[in-house]
Amino acid sequence: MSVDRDELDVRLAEVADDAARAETMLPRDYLLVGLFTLALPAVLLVVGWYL
Amino acid sequence: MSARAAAAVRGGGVEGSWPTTPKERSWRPLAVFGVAVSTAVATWCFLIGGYVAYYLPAGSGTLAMIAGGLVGILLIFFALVPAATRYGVDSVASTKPQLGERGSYVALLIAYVTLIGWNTVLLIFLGRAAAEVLIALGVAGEGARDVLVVAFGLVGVVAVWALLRGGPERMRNVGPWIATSVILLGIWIFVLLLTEVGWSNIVAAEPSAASPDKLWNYTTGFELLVVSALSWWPYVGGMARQASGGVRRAMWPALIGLSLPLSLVSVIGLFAGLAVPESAGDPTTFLVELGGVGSAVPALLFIVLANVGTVMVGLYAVSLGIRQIPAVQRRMSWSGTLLLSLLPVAAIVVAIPNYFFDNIGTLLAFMGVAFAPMCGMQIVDYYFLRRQRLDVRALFLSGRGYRYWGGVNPAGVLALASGFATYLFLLDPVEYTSRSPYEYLSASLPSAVVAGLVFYVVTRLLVIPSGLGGYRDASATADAERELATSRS
Repeated sequence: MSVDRDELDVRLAEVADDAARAETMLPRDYLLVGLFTLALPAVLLVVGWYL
Repeated sequence: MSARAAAAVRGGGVEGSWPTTPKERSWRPLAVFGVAVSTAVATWCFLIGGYVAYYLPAGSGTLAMIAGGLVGILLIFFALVPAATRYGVDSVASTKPQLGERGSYVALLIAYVTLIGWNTVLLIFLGRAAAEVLIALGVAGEGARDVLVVAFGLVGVVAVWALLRGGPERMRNVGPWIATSVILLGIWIFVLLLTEVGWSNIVAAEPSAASPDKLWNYTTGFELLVVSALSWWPYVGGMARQASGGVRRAMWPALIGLSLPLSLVSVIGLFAGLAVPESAGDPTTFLVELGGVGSAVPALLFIVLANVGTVMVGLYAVSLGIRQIPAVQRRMSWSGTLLLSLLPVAAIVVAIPNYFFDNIGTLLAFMGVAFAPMCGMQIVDYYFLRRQRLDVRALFLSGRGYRYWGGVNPAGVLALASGFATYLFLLDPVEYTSRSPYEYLSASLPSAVVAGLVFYVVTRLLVIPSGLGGYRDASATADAERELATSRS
């Protein structure tokens, strides 16, 4: 096995271990992101249409 | 860790195609925000806004552009940021689960063309600004303009290569300063337009190529900003993989940094395009005339500086993409990869600078056609089929879960093809002629939705029953992790 492959294996194990414990977005995060990127644009589009 | 070992790790992770480890992800939220802003706030914003000025006046154009920027970033964010922050992967590597080991070369090709395109636009823009400085100061005559544009474009190529040779740390340090400079430049141009043209004239100015259909114009202004935001696709993975602390820490810096500055600076391009219609938003064409030499020269130098910063980010992303090719990763140095990414840019800057710069609309269109379906497919796969779990080993070791059939996932190919077809049916991206229901739905959003649906259906009917793609493992891993989390709590 090459040195490169050894290094990659170590790296992948470290990343996989961290990913298994990683925090994901919470329902509240999805709600806020949705408000910011969907609800706000919808309001802006409606207001802009009547300008 | 020894110096040699540290160099090897840097070669594989931060400056290579391998995933970044948690220790290597050193960008805190402020750095993510700075890089996001410096990625989004480029002088291309002025050109994008100038394009919208063909169709919309100031008031409705401003709101449609802000809305379009936000919606475009929504797609980009969910397609890339959660996976990139969790697994340390760049944009191209993140498509292997959807397209397959070899199929992801399609994403690499699209990203490569996009980044080469943007980098070329910016370096020609840089050349134009630098040439304008010398002409305004009387150092060179009007006749030397074309030669100067090429010469300074090439100087920009060399400068960016020299700056990035030392690694992405330079990008982090330089990025926030450049973003600040460009925002100040935008404010200055805005003030200049207000004082020299007048707010009432800007508000009253009519778009120069509007359709008789008001709804069509409105949708097109919105669509142009969605497409512009989608063009960050190749940049965002490279940025998010450096973010420390996971998706929740990177979320708002990335969302806000990529969306609002793009829209707000583009709005200044809209105003410029309305106030000086022949400029198409390009400030190099009117700064000297409106502001005089004394104030125009610093502004033009800001443009030069800003473009160097943005090309650095783009060059980093495209070089990471090229290093997905195993032979490049093994045999070519980081510095050599940078040069390989810059060669096509230099060739275009020398050969066809004006032709390329005058056809930016076609470049924008290409990005919408390519990235909207890509995002739709990635979101459906990551959230609805894999439950936010990837096999990081399969992403980087050949012959594992993402091998599919001969290295290609037919679900991904069909999804992309159907998304492309949907976009092209709704909107001819070169001529900007459309078919209904484009005026109600735009083109990018339906394209993303169709691609996502096709991917879901084909994966459920063909790929999962074949036992390929690692979907069963992803589901089992998600269940196991959930049980573990429940038992801990």
